[in-house]
Amino acid sequence: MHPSKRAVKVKEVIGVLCKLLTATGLDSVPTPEVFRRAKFNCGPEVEDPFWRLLASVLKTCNIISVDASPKLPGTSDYRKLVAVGLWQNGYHIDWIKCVRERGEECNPCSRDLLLALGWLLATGTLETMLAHRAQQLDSTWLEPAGVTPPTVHGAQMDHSSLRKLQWLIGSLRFQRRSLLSMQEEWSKLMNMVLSVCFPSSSSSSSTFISDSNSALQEECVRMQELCHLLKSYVDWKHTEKLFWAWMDSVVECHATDKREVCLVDQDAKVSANRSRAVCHHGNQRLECFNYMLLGLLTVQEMRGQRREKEEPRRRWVTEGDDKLLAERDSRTLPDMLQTSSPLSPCLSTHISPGPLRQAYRVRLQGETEMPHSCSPAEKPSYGAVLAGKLQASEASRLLLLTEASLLERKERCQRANRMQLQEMIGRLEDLVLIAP
Amino acid sequence: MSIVTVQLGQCGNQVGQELFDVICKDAHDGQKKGYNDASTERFFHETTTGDLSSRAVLIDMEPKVINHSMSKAAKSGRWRYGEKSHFSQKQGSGNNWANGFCVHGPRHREAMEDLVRREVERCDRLAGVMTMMSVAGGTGSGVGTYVTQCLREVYPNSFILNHLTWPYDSGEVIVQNYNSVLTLSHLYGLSDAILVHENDTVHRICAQLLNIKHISFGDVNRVIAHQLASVLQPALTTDSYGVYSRNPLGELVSSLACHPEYKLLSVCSIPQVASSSMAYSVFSWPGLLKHLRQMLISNTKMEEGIDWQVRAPPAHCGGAESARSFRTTVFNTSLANLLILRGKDVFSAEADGFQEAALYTSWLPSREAFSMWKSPVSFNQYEKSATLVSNSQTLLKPLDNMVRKAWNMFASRAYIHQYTKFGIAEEDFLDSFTSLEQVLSSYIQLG
Repeated sequence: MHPSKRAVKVKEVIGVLCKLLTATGLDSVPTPEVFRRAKFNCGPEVEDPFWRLLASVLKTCNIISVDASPKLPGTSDYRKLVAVGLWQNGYHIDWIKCVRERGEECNPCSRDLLLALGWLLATGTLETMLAHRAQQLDSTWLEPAGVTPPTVHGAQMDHSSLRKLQWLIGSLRFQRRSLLSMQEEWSKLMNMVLSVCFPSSSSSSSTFISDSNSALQEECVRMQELCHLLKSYVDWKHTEKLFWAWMDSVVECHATDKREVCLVDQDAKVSANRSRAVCHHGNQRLECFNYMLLGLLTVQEMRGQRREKEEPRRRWVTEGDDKLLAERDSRTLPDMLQTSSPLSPCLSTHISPGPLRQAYRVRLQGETEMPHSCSPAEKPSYGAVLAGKLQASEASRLLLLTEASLLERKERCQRANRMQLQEMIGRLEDLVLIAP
Repeated sequence: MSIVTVQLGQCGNQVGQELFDVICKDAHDGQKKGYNDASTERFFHETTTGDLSSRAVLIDMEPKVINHSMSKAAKSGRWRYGEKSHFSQKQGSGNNWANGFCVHGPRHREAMEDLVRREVERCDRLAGVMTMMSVAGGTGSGVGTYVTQCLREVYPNSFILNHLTWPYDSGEVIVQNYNSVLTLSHLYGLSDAILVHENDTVHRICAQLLNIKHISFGDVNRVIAHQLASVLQPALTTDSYGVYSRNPLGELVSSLACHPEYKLLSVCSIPQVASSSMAYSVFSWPGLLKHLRQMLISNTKMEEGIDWQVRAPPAHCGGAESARSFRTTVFNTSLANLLILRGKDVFSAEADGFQEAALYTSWLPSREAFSMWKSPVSFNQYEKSATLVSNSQTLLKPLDNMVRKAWNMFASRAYIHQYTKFGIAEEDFLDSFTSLEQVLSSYIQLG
């Protein structure tokens, strides 16, 4: 599908969801455009409607108390209440905990709220709201009677019990058929009533039905609302797949941002400001790539670390690296990540062609990489940050260099692995290996 | 709630015509309006000219009987068949079940289904479909079985009641037992309940109770129609809460045939007297019910020659012991019974005698096994009448005879080629025998 067409389709699908949410009786449903903008974290004007929507959903499902809810979505209590509701519904994510503990200090972005809504929908709150609303509209609704299944005493299934059971099953089958037939007749009659009451359109109905028939009129309106509700649900079920595909893309965005945040600001606290997540712009791809490289090498190092624990010395480790390896053995992964950053507060270009280990420490750092949690006194000056900015040509050169180092290292790893394998095979005398 | 009737073959079309005649006459002869309306809705619809047209489809492979039934109905002046509600061909099925089931049925499926669909669409709510046919011939049994199979496919959630007329034991058609075995074994898997009338029994009623000298098929058919109408006419049931039941077939099969191995229903009805004797007869509910109960337990199919020696087994003798002790007598054990009372002072009638646990099989309590419908409106000129629809061992003996005779023929491979040439293999016969042996065994174990 063409991207623009897909975008239109997504908007339509979100529209269907909004329609269904409105039909379930929610009073504050954002527009599809607000949903779309929420994905891209477009500030408080998008967040407030989502706070309201979440509160409304949680209230309708009786997860949070209606009376207890404050009116204004911006207030700390309001957010805490929503956070508690989400927590109770099983959405255990960091910002929920933060909001519960610190209130207004924590400021989850609109995408977080959108994901929380996705969680609520996926856990069946939509169906709960639908059933709740249908119950309100349908005057013939009957609460299912609590039927206790008959127990088989002593679990003895003798011939007689089996026959009796077969009879009862048959009886239930016939009852079901009778009920189906009654339901059909009920639908036909209801259709007749509606066609008499609303011969052409609902607008003419008000003139057609006199005031004395207000009860009938109300019933008809309720029935229409119920039909509308059910139709909305059917429409939603038809298009639901696309919505969840779109939600996947939201999750993907969220995950990407999270990885970036991890790299950009290791020590950042949960209360870090949102601008970091918003303003990637041109540096975003570079950062992704940087992250990927670091991740790749970190994994390799971890593997190496494991091997080293088994065999303290390996042939392919150079003498110069021994010290570093020994140091690293005593550290955990976060420690290692931390050691990389002091080398480059803004741009760690202290790369020496010799020690390959440092090649992966080359990191591109934009303004977003400022350690936001630092106190103003600790913050490096803006000038220093600017000085650390990287020219495109320089970045390109460094990347090429890094790539070459990585390839060389990969080759060495492969070689070492091959030799190790040969050694192992040599030790297995009784085993004959046949090449594939 | 309406019932669509499908009349198949010569017998089905003749009995069907008599049935509608009895129903129409009963409902419109000075009866109460509610009863009349319920009956009319159930079996007829009003045409644009205001005439009553039966909710029936007539199917036969020869046109003669259909034409006769239609003209007879039109002549009655009270009701008629739908102008386009019939299907016939020029050539019959030659008393061959295989010809009807494998050739005529599939060939005309679309046309027959279309007729039924049109009738179904005329109903506000379909109570179910009732097919009427004999089991001896070719069209009724073969095409009838095929049509039932199609109906089950097209209306999986509707009730299907098959009314079958079993042939004279002495024989009408040489291969009647083959046809009967094939029909019954197939219908057992398709139908919700099979209501049976035996020609022999009805013939005896005509001769001994109605004092008819020269008994014709018309007389036999009228008795069948009378009994059938007494079951199908509106009544107040336990589930209908003071109004005439709108789900007659559903309630009938739910009361009597919930178990898939027990679907054979027999009907007996009292009183049945000659119209000339009616004026001199007085009936009381206790008397009628006492007779009917004894007819049930002694397996007497008409109110004549009842064996009063037969007693229900004592309460302390249950299950297998009861069966052993009383197998030597003719005690007829029931699985379920439905008693339908119609007429004057019906609400004063007590049917305690039918609720005894000793009458029923050990695994179904009598409160579930016994049901009663009542109607204060007298039926078909009888001031008081009682009909018993029973799922019991009553049909065990005739069914056993039928299977035994068919097996004897099959063992000598008599007439088998007449069936194999239309696509019914010997394995199909064996399957049918096995299936009916299972039915016989199930009914024997009731006692």
